[in-house]
Amino acid sequence: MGMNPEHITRLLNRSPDDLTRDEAADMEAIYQRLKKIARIQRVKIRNGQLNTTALVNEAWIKSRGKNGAFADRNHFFAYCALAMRHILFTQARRNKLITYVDDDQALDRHPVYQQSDYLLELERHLASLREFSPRLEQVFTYRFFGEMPFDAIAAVLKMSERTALRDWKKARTMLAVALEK
Amino acid sequence: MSDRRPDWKRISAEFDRAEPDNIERYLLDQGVDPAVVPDSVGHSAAELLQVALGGEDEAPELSRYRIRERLETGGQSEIYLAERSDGVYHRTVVIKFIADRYGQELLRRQFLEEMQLLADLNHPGIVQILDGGLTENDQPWLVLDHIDGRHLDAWCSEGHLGPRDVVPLFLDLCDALDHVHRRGVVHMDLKPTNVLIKQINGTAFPVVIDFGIALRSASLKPGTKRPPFGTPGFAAPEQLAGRPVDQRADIWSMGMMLAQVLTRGRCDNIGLLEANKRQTLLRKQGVPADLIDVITTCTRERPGDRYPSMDTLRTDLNNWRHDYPLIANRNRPLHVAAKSVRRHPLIFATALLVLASAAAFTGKYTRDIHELQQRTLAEKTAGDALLNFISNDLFERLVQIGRVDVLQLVAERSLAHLGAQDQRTYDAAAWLQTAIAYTNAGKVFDALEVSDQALAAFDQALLHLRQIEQSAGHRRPYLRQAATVHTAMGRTLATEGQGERTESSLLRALELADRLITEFPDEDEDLLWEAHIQLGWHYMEYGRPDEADAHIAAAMATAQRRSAPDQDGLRIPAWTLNLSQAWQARAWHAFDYGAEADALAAIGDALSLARLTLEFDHEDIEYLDNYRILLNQQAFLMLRTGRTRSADEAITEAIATGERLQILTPENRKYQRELAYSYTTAGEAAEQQGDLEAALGFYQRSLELSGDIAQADPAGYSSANDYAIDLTRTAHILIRKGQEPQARELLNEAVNLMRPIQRGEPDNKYYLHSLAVPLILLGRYDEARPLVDAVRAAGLNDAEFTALLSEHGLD
Repeated sequence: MGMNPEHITRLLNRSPDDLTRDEAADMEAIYQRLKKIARIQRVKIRNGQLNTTALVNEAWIKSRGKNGAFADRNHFFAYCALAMRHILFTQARRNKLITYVDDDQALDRHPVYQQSDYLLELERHLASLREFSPRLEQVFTYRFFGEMPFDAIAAVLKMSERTALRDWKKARTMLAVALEK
Repeated sequence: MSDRRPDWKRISAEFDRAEPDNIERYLLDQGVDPAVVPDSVGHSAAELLQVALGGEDEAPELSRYRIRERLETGGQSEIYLAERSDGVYHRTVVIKFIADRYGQELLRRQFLEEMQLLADLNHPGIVQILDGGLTENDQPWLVLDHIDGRHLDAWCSEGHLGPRDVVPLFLDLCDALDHVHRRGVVHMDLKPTNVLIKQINGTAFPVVIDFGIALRSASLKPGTKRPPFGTPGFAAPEQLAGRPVDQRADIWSMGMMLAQVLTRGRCDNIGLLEANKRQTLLRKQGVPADLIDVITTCTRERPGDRYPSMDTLRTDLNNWRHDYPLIANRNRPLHVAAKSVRRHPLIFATALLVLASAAAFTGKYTRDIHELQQRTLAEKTAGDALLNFISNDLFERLVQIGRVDVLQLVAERSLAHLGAQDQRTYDAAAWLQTAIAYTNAGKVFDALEVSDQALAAFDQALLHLRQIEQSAGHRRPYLRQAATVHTAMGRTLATEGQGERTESSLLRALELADRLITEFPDEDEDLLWEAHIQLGWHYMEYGRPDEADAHIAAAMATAQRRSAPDQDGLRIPAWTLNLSQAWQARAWHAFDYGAEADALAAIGDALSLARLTLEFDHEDIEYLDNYRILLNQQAFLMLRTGRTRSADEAITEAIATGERLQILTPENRKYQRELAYSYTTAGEAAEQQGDLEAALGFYQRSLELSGDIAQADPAGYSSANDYAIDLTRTAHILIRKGQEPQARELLNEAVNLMRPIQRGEPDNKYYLHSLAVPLILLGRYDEARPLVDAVRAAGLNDAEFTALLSEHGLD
């Protein structure tokens, strides 16, 4: 992966839309890795939910053996969270690209389609949240997309665990209010 | 976003004060469902996650589609009707596999980028690309929306649609293609079978399909020669020839499709007919003349002669629909106006009103002048004066940067408005300002090389000036303006080759300028200088050296007096420039009628003065251009006298200056032409020194430049001629280097370029020459012979030409 911690931190501070070509390629590499692990491990949907933590943990173990590019496990988790956000956003946008000649009403009710709407909407609000407070957006991304524990978030962002927890609550509340509108 | 901010600020403040223990409850209290943002994305977008990450086992994306039937196999693609079958979506799509014909040049990443580009072309008139990629064998595939509709031509002929029904469909097509072009994509395969008509709410709507060629073309490596492809008849000639294409190739296809549809199946492919047969067929089918004009404008051989863009084509189709005059006829405004008035006096009057209200200044003109009080008239004249001042200044600047074209509309409109005024209410000031406005319009037309309109405008200016000839209070402006008009007229007439009229116009200008300076000694003498110098050039061109000499001497005397340093040692830059140009005229006089050594000395003097002007302002475009032209001419003279090394120095400096001007004024084609000439001279110098390799390099750069000019010049026979000459010159070197096949390619291009031009203007001796030389070099003697005779008869058989003839045994 050939990256140093500064580079990752810089990357993590960017929105998926602003990635350079190389950075997007790195994201793509992570994506492929996540996918491959998912396939090998036959990650099952448990109660309708995919276990992202398991996925990322697995990815970390696999990547460590190959190179030590990531400063530590926490940075890698953060990176995966961002990758996940990027992947989902891309997938959602791609789903929404599809236009319909025959107006298929059933499709609008399809979960993937609805969730794509949701993701795009969330992404829009995340962009405003970053304008409001970049830190809130980061904490939210790591937790929501990467299921990172708060001590890991605190370590990556060099803040106290307490602050990470409060920021997460704050961001989640703010986004919920915004999405509900 | 802004309505959310206060909420966020409030929430943030509340949390900072006292953070709630349970945010679910907090949200519920706010009336917000906490499930909207759960703990993890896995809880809110599980299925999406699965789609994104679940990953079918090494299944290509294609496996999401189940093929239902094969639709067609063309030469370049296989097309299937398919269903999306991954259990997520149910829809009918079209899958297209593009034949791997140019596979080696196709880079995977580039293809995917281009596909994304097309996928982003979201428009109801364009088939949506849903998905795509490369198979394991690198064969590109695309998934497209399935449009269930008839082809454009079938739709029109089955419905017996006439022009009034067909044109709206083309308006929609223009919209869609404009959208495409603005995003840098050219379709390149527009034909009736690539346009499907779908019904939206009972209204027919055309959808453009099949971006296959656009895709392949865009995926070529830059600089790769594009293999010629496209459908004969519907693809533009430059495309079929494998030359670079832009949106104007699609304009051609639109014209052909319109023609095809309007002939209602009388002809399988109207594009294969010759232009005049096509027009005859269209006329026979009762297609309205203006629509034939539109088709003709779309399908001109040279892209520069077609509509420049889809929105201009759209405007004209719309104009036709509403019986407005066409842009296609814009170079004939009188014809257009007459036609429109004849046809729809009321609409035309309304249109004029609409146009008029568009511009604040011109709005003044359209008020009913009968009711204008003296006060209003004074205001109007003041407004005109301001407008004239602005356009004068603007004009000079636009000439320098080569963008006079932006004034064309202003000039045409102001002529229309000036013509509509009631002159009974004019006072002297109004006559004068109107005359100035006509002069300005004339200058614009002259710069745009629309000579007949320029001359008509100058005539109008003189007619208006006559009204104040006897007015004692306006003596000075009258003399100044009349001299200006006559000088400008002389310039236009000279470009038209009208020797006698040029002379009389310039002599009249001289007389007026002379009277001006006699009656008002404090006047600047620039008009006098201008008349003298132009007369000097005029008499040189018509072989009257003594008269030429006298006028050049007079111009030089004036310039010397006015450019002399004052007591502080300062010179007036403008007059220093004038003096430099007087020396330039003297140099050419010496070259034509005297000694070459004198010519070189005079050019040297001109150059020293040019350097002085650059000391005043080294960024001034006019000074730089003058300096560069003089260097070009110095190099030319030095080459003639065998001083190759000095010529080299001069031309190197000329090229450096020219490249600088090129950056300052990228759109000035005259400057670009002059730069191309520098390179040609550099090439000649290298050739004289026997360095064929260097010569070839210079000629090729010149060729590039003249190619650019030819492409950018909409009307330009002469730019095409310059380009053909550069092609021939480059080919000549290639032949000498033994690269016969490359040379033949260039020569053939020159012949193909010049043939229609020479047919268009059979009497032009230069065009004869430019066609004859490549034909001779190609060994096509039978075709060349009549041209050679004509060149001889025109007296253009110089030493070089004669040598060429004897080399090929044609003398």
